[in-house]
Amino acid sequence: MRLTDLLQQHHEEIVGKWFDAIIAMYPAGSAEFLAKQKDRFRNPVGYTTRASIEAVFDEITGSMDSGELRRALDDIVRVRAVQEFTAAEAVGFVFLLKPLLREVFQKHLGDQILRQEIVDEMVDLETRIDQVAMLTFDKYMECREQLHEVRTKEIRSRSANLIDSLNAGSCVSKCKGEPFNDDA
Amino acid sequence: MSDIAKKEDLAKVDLNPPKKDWMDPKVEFKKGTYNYGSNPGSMKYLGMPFVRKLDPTAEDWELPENWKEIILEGLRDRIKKYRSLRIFMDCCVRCGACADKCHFFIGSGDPKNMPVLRAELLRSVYRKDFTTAGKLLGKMAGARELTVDVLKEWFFYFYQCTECRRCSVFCPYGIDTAEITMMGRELLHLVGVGIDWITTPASNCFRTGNHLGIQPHGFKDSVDFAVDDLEDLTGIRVDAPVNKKGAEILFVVPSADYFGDPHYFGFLGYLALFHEIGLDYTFSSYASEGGNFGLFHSSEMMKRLNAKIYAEAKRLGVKWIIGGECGHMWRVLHQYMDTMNGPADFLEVPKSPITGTTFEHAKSTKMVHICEFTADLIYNNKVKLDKSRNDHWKVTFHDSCNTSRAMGLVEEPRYIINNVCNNFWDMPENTIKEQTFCCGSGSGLGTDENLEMRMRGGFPRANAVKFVHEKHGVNLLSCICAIDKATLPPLMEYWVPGVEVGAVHELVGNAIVMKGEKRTTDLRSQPYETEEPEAEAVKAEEAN
Repeated sequence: MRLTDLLQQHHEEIVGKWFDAIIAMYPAGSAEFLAKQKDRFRNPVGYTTRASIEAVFDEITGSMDSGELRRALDDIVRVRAVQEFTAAEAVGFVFLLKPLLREVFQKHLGDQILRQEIVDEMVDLETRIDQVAMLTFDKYMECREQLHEVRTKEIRSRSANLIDSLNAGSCVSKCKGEPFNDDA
Repeated sequence: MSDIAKKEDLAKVDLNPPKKDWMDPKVEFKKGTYNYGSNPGSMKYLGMPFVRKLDPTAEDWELPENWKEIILEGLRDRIKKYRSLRIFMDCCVRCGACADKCHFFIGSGDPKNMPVLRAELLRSVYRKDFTTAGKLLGKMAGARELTVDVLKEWFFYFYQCTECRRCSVFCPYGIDTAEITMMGRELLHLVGVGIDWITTPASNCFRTGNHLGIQPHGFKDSVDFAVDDLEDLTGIRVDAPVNKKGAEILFVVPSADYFGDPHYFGFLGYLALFHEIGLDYTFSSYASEGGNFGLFHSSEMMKRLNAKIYAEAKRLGVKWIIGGECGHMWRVLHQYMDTMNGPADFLEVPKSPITGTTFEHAKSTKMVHICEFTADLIYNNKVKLDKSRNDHWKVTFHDSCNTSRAMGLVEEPRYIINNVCNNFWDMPENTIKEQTFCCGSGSGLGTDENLEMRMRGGFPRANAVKFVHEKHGVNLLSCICAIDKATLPPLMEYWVPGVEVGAVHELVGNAIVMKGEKRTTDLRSQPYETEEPEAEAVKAEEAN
């Protein structure tokens, strides 16, 4: 049996285990909710995570199209980039797939796992996962940079409004020593 | 090979969350997830105690020596004063109905953002010092000692609640966690702990009447500037009176309406509408702010900042009041103003001079929401509207927490939008109306330093917008709240690029056909999508 066939056959089991491992990175008090609530609007983090890794897994076992991968990764990474994770934790979910796959292969292939063609396929598969990890890191950086841009833009637009108003002749100057804030 | 490190000696990246008991109060003030402390100048101006510049990340918060006594005494006073607080402290059975309803919990996965657990932060201290079981059994009865770490935890989590009250919709006992947050914040203020995005606008408001600190002549300039802009856009010069004694109606707006973007386009919409129906109204350069950041501070502060509205109505001799598009402003006006600074027995029960409709529901406060007023005008065919002028917008509507849950204003905005736009799609039912998801930045949390937390809290809302954006091509998120208009644009930029944010009265201002107008663009100076924007209006006129 080839690994690709095995991956197809056990697609649901593998993605399910990967999802559970990712959700286990959240505190125990919330992991149950994130895993079990299926309504995409009541549980957008759980839904997005599941949908995103499904699409990523399809690419890993399929054509590894970089455009599709970027699109699929965007959803999950965008969420993790603003949550309480370090950079390593935010992108580290990709690597959770490796031990999990080894476990599945061991279970279904037994000793056959040492056959040269299987070993070759495994090396290829792990290389694919490494590539996904690198794209994930790119995506993470993109999200973090965007976050800083959003922040800068917000600050700029507030001061721009103030300047516009001053130029238009509005007197919004502060009295000396008195508090002033341009936020409403 | 002997130089190669063994597997167990390798640097470890642990992907498992730390095991933590909820009773452990230690929090980490990570950049992007908390708000800066109050400005000492603003604290002083408001007469707040223990003035200093608080750095939340500092080990020593320079609390007064008897801080614990002050907090516990403050809690005792409030439990005596507010029966609701006493009940909320005692009656929660931890059924969990509220647990997964908070947008901060949903977006962050932090268990302490479950409303039940956020309330437990205060409740545990209450148990320790105010209940026999807590005194005797301590931790076993869910009681905790009030420590500096607990105080810091309060600061962290009571400023991760936007007081949106979504959780209270689902609580079988009706526990209003927003009120618990309010009490938590009041107690923190007793020892000089607050955030600047609330304190400084409150101080500005106390000084000049509005959060921005704009003085009366500055306010007049801003209104005149808008009148000039509207003339450039429509060819019509409208009258926008300020401090006109004897006008029939006082019109109060949030200050962001005449200053912020995209709020300003809604302000132009108000001016166009009032001109077209010939309303006898006036602004007040003193009641130049409908919003009230005192609400996020303490009940006393809210009362202080609100007092100007009835005072100005009296000074100007108006008959009743209309209020502009704002969220928390309406919580104050609708639920508290009457008992705080009323009764406004010098005013008349609001009656539209255009349609003759009496707004019975505002019989006591004497103040009507602009959406109620406009919906009534449209219902009675008093304005000529050309929907096609909004054809470049595919619109959805975000229910602001306060207008939907605190005053039940859910149908009027939709009625207006459906009469001024051809393309409107609501978001899924469990994300709108009473169940609306907060913008994630309300109640004073909309600071740039708190952006990551805002993105977490706003994710459930953005997720629903993304759904209608992808399904129907929605490109405008309309709303009737000044904080939403300020904070939803960055939220959309991060989560749903391609969706703009706008006021409902911006859409009204686009659609309204003014006598003698010369228009080629919408209020944002964007050309109309259709070549003959008035064609539909003419058809509508013929039909009438």
